[in-house]
Amino acid sequence: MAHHHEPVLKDDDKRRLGAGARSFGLTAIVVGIIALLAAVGVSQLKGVGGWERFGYAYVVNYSFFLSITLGGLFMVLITHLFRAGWVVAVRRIAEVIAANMPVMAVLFVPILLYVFMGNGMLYPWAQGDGDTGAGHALVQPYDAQIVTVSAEPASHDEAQAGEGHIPGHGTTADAGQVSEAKDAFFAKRREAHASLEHILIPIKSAYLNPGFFTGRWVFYLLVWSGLGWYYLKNSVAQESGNSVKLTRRLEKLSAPGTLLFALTITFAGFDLLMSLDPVWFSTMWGVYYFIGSMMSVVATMILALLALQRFGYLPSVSVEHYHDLGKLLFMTVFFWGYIAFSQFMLIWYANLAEETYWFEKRGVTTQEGNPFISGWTCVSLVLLFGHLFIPFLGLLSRWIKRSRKCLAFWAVWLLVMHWIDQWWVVMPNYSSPSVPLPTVEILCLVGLGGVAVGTTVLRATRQGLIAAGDPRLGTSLGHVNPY
Amino acid sequence: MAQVLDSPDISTASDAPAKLHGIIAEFETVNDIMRAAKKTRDEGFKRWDVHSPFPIHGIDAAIGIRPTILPWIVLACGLTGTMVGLMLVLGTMATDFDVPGLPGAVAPIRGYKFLISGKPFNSLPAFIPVIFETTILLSAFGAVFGMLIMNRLPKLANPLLKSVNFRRSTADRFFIEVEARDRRFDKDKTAEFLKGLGAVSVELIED
Repeated sequence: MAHHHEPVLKDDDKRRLGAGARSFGLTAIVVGIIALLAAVGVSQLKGVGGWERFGYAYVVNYSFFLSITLGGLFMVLITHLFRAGWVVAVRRIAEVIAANMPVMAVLFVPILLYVFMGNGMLYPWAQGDGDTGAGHALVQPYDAQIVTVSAEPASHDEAQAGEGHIPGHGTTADAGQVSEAKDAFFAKRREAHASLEHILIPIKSAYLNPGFFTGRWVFYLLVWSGLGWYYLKNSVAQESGNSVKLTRRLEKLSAPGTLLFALTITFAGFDLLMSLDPVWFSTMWGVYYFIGSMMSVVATMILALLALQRFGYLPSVSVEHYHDLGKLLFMTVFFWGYIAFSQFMLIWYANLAEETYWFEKRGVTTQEGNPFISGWTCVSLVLLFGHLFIPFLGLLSRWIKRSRKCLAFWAVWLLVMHWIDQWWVVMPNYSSPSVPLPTVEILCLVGLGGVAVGTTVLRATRQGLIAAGDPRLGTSLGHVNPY
Repeated sequence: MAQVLDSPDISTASDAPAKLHGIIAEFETVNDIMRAAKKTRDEGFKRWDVHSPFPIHGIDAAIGIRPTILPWIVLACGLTGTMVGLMLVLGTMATDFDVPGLPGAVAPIRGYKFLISGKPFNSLPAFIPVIFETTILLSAFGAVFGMLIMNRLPKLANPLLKSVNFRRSTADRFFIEVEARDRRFDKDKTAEFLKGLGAVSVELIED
């Protein structure tokens, strides 16, 4: 159907990043390392929280940058799987981001050190030396406890049960007694979540133990690094011939690659974030982490393209490519909301103590004796509006997706929201209901950000910025969105 | 059916004088039709269209098609769906008030007020799936039926199908159709104009 002349690359499209980018990358890495050292220093100050605080701050930001790197890999895999034409002109950005995975593997080492310190500072399941199995004095299963507590207010009024959250509150003479019993119950539960004394911990220890954890992460990082390296290598190799054959080969690999990616990102999400609270579980967690990852990489690609075009690179990337990235950004915003709400609603509805506790800590559901107010409640509301409703309405219009300025605004906005999302997931395990001022966290953000961005920019200087050998490049350059 | 379609004279069966539907002009190449479409657009015609065997990049701009208002219809329908869903769940689950009626009588309005695992009757999280679904449902209705109505579909017959030449619009020819209801339409002048654009044939189409 090529009844028009296929556009060809301009000279500036083939231009490589120069010395300026190289020195920017090196500077970013140096700034990053200084910021990381500063984060360690600040965390050791009195009252900040020491190594424990630093560990959590590190996980927040490791998770943030890992999600962007993984998102890059996903963009490469899925567009090969779909044989997408439109993406070819901008795909090299995602390829380079994905190829930076070995750096993320090195940055994972501090987390392993926390695991192998054996005091459960970061991951409670990692404490002790393997005696987390039988022999521990287990607390009662929660269900039994709940029966004990709620059996007390026997005179609670059936007709009023639906009107408030707490059954029978304020209606009986022994209300004080009941609330004391509840306080004790919640205190016990808080303790049990933080220690090994929960019935689920020994059961989960077959999966959550330092040895298996390390083995899994070696596997994940090898798979991701290998895929990222292979796709970038072959995409570059296309420029010196064999382009159709190589594209076929990459497309063939993308099917098992996507499958492997789905499994590894799901379990990585479980390991890195969910197991910070070893009692809690949500089968939706993998999808939740994945969609944040895809959203952040689309936002990153938009910002990277805008930055490159500002310096005169990639003149052939047109408003049509931004429009398509904007559509993906809009989709991921809504899908994030869909998944986040579904996860919340199922847990809220089923009302199992092991699960609801996670949302209580984040101030989403009632805090016993202190209904619905904590610092984390505000953060949760910021996410509800800032990560879902406001950007949903903001990205709804077609002209916004076709305006570079508007798209840049929403890309920055959503990256900030994605960071707040990671912070909201990780930090309440360290401190709740009080919200610690994110000082160490922001220093770690600059630190890991400097290293990750710097190494990615250095990686980007090693080849052209456009997949010049891809047989679908012409399709991509001439791509037009009819709607 | 094939026989009927093959007979071009089928439309003259009626005794009433046939009303002019419009004029079609036939073009041979994509370049010809693009050039002709731009000129027709610039001439100021509003009720006209291009028929082609396959999609042509850039033809929308060449015809001068303005953006559709369909998204606004969908948005309005979606918001209506949100309100309908909200009132449905609140009305059936959580209503509890009296409406004063005739002197001395009140009409009690009560929802079902099912007590589900001790949750409040008015539980927004549980209602959101319903509200979401009604929003999607009415948006989809707005999109599908809005599109059908704005395109005047379904249309069981089109006068253009009477033309034998026009059948090649699904094979290897491109057509411009100018409708008689266009304000600038004039049987002779428009035909002359279309011929001037390089049409290989120009044909009057009757209703």
